[in-house]
Parts: sequence; C-alpha cells; structure tokens
Amino acid sequence: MSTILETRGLTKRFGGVYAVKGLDLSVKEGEIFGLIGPNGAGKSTVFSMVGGFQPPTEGEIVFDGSDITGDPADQVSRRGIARVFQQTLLFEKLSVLDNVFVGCHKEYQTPQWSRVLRTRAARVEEKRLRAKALETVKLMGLEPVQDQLAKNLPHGLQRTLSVALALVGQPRLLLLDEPVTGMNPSETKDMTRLISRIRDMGITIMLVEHDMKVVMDICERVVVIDFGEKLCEGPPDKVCVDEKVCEAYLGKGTFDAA
Amino acid sequence: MSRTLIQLFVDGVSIGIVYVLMASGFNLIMSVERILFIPFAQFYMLGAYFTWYLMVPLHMNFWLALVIASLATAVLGGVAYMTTFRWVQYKEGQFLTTLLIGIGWMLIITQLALRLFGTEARGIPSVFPGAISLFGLRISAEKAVVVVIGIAVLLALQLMLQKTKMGRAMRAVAFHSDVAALQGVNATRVFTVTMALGCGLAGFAGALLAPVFAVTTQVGSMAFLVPLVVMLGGLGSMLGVILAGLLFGMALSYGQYFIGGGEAQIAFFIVVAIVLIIRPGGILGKKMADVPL
Amino acid sequence: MSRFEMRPGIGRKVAVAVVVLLLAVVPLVVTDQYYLHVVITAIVNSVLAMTFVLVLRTGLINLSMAAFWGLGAYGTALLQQKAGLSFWVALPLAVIVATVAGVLLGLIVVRFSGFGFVILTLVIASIIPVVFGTFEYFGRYVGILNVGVPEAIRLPGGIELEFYSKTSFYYLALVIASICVLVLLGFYASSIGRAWRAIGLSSALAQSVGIDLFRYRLVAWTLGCTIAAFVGGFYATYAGALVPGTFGPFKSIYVQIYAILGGMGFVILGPIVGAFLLTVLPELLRFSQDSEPILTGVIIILIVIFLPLGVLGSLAALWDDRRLQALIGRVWPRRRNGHPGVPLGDAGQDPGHSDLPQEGADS
Repeated sequence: MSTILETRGLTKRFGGVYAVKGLDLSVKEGEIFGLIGPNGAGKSTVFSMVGGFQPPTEGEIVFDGSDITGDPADQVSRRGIARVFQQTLLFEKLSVLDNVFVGCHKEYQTPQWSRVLRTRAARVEEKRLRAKALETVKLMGLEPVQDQLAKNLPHGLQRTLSVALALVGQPRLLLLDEPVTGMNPSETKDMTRLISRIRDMGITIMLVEHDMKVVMDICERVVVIDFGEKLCEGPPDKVCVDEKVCEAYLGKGTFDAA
Repeated sequence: MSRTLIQLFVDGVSIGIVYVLMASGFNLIMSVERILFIPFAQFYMLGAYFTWYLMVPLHMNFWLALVIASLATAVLGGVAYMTTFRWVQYKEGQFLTTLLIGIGWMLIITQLALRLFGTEARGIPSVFPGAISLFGLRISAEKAVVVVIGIAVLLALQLMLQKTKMGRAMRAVAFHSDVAALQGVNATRVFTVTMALGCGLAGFAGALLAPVFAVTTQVGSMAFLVPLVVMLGGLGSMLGVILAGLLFGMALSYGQYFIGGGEAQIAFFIVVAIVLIIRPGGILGKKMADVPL
Repeated sequence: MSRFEMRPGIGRKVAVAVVVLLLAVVPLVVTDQYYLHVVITAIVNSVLAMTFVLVLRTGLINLSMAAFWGLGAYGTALLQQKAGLSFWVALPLAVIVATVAGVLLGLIVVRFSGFGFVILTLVIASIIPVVFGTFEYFGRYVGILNVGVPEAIRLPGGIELEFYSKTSFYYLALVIASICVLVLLGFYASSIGRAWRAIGLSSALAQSVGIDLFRYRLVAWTLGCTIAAFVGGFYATYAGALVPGTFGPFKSIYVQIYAILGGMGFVILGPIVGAFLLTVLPELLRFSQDSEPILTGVIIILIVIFLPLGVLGSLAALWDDRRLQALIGRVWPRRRNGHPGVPLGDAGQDPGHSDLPQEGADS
C-alpha cells in the first residue's frame, strides 16, 4: 500500500505557543488511521492544516506525491481531501438534498459563462450532478428526509449529512473530526459501520476520536500526540498499553473539563 | 519657517488628542459591544451644542458647561442603549441591526438638533484667549488646554478600566462575552455603561472643542474619520488608538497646511487605505482578541 | 416536481413579474409629475439595494455601491458632454469603465472580510465623491449641469420614442431595472448563485467542498458595480444635473437600509419593498418638512427591533407559522413536499424558500 498523505516536521506556532510541533505522519492509502490524544493536544489543528484552513508555520504536507503545504482549503478539496468538521457544519437553511448538491460543486466541468447562460451542455451537466446528489442521498439512507431543512434534522442525521456532503465529491482522503461525539451507542454503531463501508469504497480515512472503543474497533493504525508532538505510533492495542500514552492520559485525567 | 512647523506640530497634537478621545470612546463601544456605532458624530455635535447652550444663553462657566454637557451626552447614550440597542444585542445579524439602529438615531438626533438649535452657526467666545509661552514658543492657550485636559481624561479612563470593578467587567466582556456571562457579570448594565461612556467621550470632545470652532450641525463630520482611526490603530488596542489618533492629527495638520483642500483629503484616504491593506491589523498589528483595551 | 429549492421558485418569479407589471401601469394611473418622480427614484433605489443584497449574500457588507452608481452617472454625463457621444453610446461605455474600476478595486478589497472590508468600502465610498468634488474636470462641488437627454429612438413602423416627458423616463427606468433584475435572477439560478448562497451560509463549509471564496465574491462584487453603474447612467440623464454629494457614503448606507428593511432573504422583492417603503413613505408623510427625517429614523429603529427579518421576511415567517398553516390547510388543502410520516420544519424556515408548489421539471 502506498502512502497517500505525509507530513514532515509539521509545526504550528501561535506567538510563543506551539499547537503542533515537528509532527511526522504517514497515512497509507486505504487504511483507517487514528489520531488520538488528550484534549488540547493539537489534533484539530493538524486537521485544520491538512485541510488547508490554516497554513503551517513550518513543515510540509504531501498528498499523493504533491506538495500541498499552505494551499487554501478549496484547492485542497479539489485535490481530493474532504473534511468533516467537529461542529457538524451544514448549510442549515438548505434542504438535505440541496446540501449534498452543493457538495458536488467542484465537479462542474463546463465553463462559468456557459453555466450562466444555461447552454445545453450546462443544463445536461446540472442534471447529471443533481442525479448524483440524489444517489448519494439514497446511499446514505437520507432519502426519507431529503426535503427537510438541514437545521431541523435530529443530531445523528445531521452528522450523517455532513459525511454525505464530504463523500459526494468523491474524495480520496476523508478527515473525520470526532464523528461519534455526542452519539448514543446505537448511533455510534451505525457510524462505525458507515466508516467501514466508506473504507471499503476505497477511501482513506483519517480519524480524530476520543471514544477508545471506536478507535480500537476500526482503526488499523494509530498515532498518539500530546502538546502537539508525537508520543507513539502503531496498532491500537499496542499503543494503548504504551507507558508514555498512559501517562499522558492519566496525567491529564478524564476529570479535566473539555 | 520652523516656528510654523512647530505650530503645526502643536496643532497636530491637539487635534490628535481629540481624535484619541473620540476613538477611545468608539473603540470602547466596538470592543465591548461589537457595535459599529455610526451616530458617534452626532454625540460629538450634541456635546458642542449643549456647551454652547449652557454658556451663551445661560451664561455658565466653561468648566461647568463642559462637565454638564459631557454628562448629558453620556446619559443620552445610556438611554439609547436601554431603549433600542439592548433588544438586538447578541441576536442574529447583530452587526447589521445595530448599524441600522445607529443610523436611525443619527437621523433623529441630527434633525432634533436642527429643530432645537436652528441652522445658523453658533459661536462661543473664546475661553482661553491669547497664547502662552512654552519653551520659548508661543502656543495658543486654547490648544494647550485641549491637550492637557485631553490627556487627563485619557489617564482617568485608563485608570477606570484597570482598577474599577466596572472597568474590569468591561474588559472581561470585550475579551470573552460568554465567559463573562458565566462569571455573573450583568451584561446589560455593562453595555449600558459602555455606551454611555463612549457617547460621553464623544460629547466631551465636542464640548472641549466647542469654543475653538463654530458650532453647526456639520460639526460632527470630522468624527466620521474616527472609525478609520480605530482601524488604523488596531481594533481594541488602546495604545494603537493613541498612536493612530496622534498620527491622524499630525497628518491633518500638516496636510491641511501644505496641500489643503480636497487633494489632501484624497491623499489622506489613499494613505489610510494602503496602510490598512498592508497591515490589516492596524499599525500595531493587534487583533481584536489580543489586547482588549 | 422540482425538489431542488435553491433557486428562486416559480412562485416568487411570478411575484416579481406581477410587481413589474403593476409598476408598468403606474404612469397611466398617476398623473402628478411629482409622484411619478418619487416612484422613479424608488425604482432606482430598489436596484441599488439589490446590488447590496447581492454582495451581502456572499457574506460581505458593501458600503460603496453609491460610489459606483456615481461612476456610472458621471461617466455617462461626461462622455455625453465632453466627447459628444449619444446617450445610448455613452451609457454602455461608462458602465464598462465602472466595471473595470470595480474589478481593480475588488481585487484589492475582496480579500478582506468582516470589519476590514466594511471600512475599506467606506473609504472607497468617501474618496470617489471627494474626487468628483475636487477636480475641475468633474465640475467640483457645483457638479455637472445640463446633462443631455437621451436621443430619440426610431422604431420600425415610424414610431419615435422621445425622452422629454417624465413618463418616457419612467418607462426607461423600468426597462433598465427589468434588465438588471433578469440578469440577477439569471445569476442566482445558476451554479454561481448556488455557490454564493453556500458561501453566505457557511464559508468554511463552502471552502471544504471546493468553492473558491475569493473568486465568487469577486464576481458578485463586480456584478454589483456594473449594475450600480448602469442605473447611474440612467440617473445622470434623468436628473440632468449631478452633484458629488449625492453619491457619498451616506447614500450607500441608505441603500443598505432599503435592503435590510425589506427582508434579506428576498433578493429581488426585499430591496423593492424596502426602497419603496423608505422612498415613498416619507413623501406621503410629508406633513412637516422638518419631522420627516425623525420619522424615518424612528421607522427604521422600530422595524429593526420588531421585524428583525425585515418586512417581507416577517411576513414570510408569519405565513410559515404552523397555526396559520393549519388554519389555511383546513380551508384549502394542498399538496406539500416531504414524506408523510416526517414532520416538516415550520417557523424559522428560510424566508427565501418558496412554499408554493413547484412546477416544471429540473432545468
């Protein structure tokens, strides 16, 4: 399996504080890769940088052989990296179907001017993309609510929708930021199964998660970070008993406020 | 020639101090309440008009008039908050709604001033005529007074913000409003005081300068530049506001003398725009979240 | 049945058409020249407000529209006077010049967001009128006088359209406004319009699906400048005289008010309602010259506080109210979208979401 994403010496500094320091990661194509660590360890910042929402202070990000360090988020997205945000970002005032349809946006091939003038080619393409959106909606089991406004959906479905949004663009790498936070056991199971299905579609998944059971269940490899630095790396069962890791977690304790 | 340059410098400082006063008020309202307070110029104008009214028909002494006028505008500002701004604070689209409410007030106040005070320019006899000798130079006494009082008020403001309970509350809210709410800070009271304080500062500036310029309803137009001062100094930064205000004063003073007229204004705006483009955080490059006040 | 709601639904397109038709009839009903003038002004203001909403939809508050309006006006007037061009040639040329200026300024300014953007647009809005007022070429503060009237158009069939009466100017205004509306609707219905909507709803999410914020915002900005200039050209020939003061930052701020009071969810109807409300209403309330701005100020404040969604927005929210719907449903049952078993969202539905049954297939 080839490496699809690599970070070398990834660093993000805010004034005198290091959110991420000298992080080397290597994600193999087709795997489910976990990024774990105590609160405030810098995991979301890593995602933010890989996704193009923040430029790294130092270091490189290489995706599928190309250097994407510092590229803006929309460019990164077009290269094939999709991000599902921790806060469940959606287009709240749009319907489920419209949400997914917007997700197809970067698939447009006809030039802008022809789209504005609604030439034949443009209209054909629009039809095709709408069908695609519909298909994804069905695939994700969202068909019953397809016309509902995103903000009126129950939390679990909203999560599913945000994943659908990311998937419809056919990414090669999916960044999932705490997908099961706030879910009950049955929803968690559904999400876990969904993640496996996504992997089976050939999409590489990078996961940030707190729920250790989920991490143990589906992650093939895991990297633990704390204070922005890598602590250890390996299959989840080995990592969890590593001394440094235990110290990091116990030291912080689960009593710490989020 | 150099004497003129120094005169211009003094002018610049005095104009600058006034801008700093106003910018501090505007900055206060912006940082603490996140409101772009458009009617600011109107409160400046009210301060000037009140002062005129107190001094000329009522023959009050300048110092007393200054205090009363400032208090009056402050009270008005607080009332404005309590009656209107309060209802839209923290609701969706707050930036726009407060902008509009501000515009509404602007219309109302301008018109009321016209109705109450008439359209002719009002003059106030000079309070501090003549000049004083300082370091071998003759400086207009008025301007010296403006500078001295201005600095005094600014220091008082800083003291208030750092030492008093209300001041600390304001800074807390500026920094992080949701956290402040948890700490039991009574938001509405803080906001009302903030707006009152901001408007009071504007009124004070207007009152202070009332004897210097003629008082008309257009008098607030210089206040239109205040948001620029704040942006230039970096939103939320007190030090930045001081620097920017002084720079403004200098620029206006020298610019008016050497170029004058419309060209000066244009050049001025362009320079400001360029600075903002290069350093969006203002000259000191501080962002809103960093240093509240 | 179209299930994609993202473009203005048929229902609202019909509403706009109805409004235009109504407006077309006005000169036949209203004979008082003064009131005709008021309505023309309201039409101009409506289009300006539409440009504000256009840029607002992408998350930017643009307070410089009046300046581009001024560029179009001054450009047209100057081309007519100094270059001796016919109005019909001067207008497009002026619009092109203004568009180019818009693009150049946009390239610099659109990179910013939030406060920075607003202030920079205010700076633009302040500089341009001062330029007009300072240089002799633009007539300084006296402005430009005696702007030529559009040359008569000869139509096939021997009819000649002259532009001396207010009525003909009225129809010219209507035609220009209609063109602008059609162009806007066209953009909104396209993928560009959808991208705009996405950016406005969540710029982070829009980026993550591959939408380039800068590019789309620049397009909205430029389109706004072009339309503003277009209407400016009309204004120049209609008003006959131009002074820099008309095009200052205060006008831009008023434009913003028109848009917001009308209701920001409605890209065409909102600005129309808002502009008419604030242009026509003060005229009707003219019992005292002096009180008028006070009244306007009070109206603005009241609407902002009590009708936060704007006039149309609040009406739409009212329409969406469950109880009202239930009441109407009993009297007039109609098909609605959605799965029978799943409850539909009610209040708080996007005011820009048409409730009328959608007709026609996709595209």
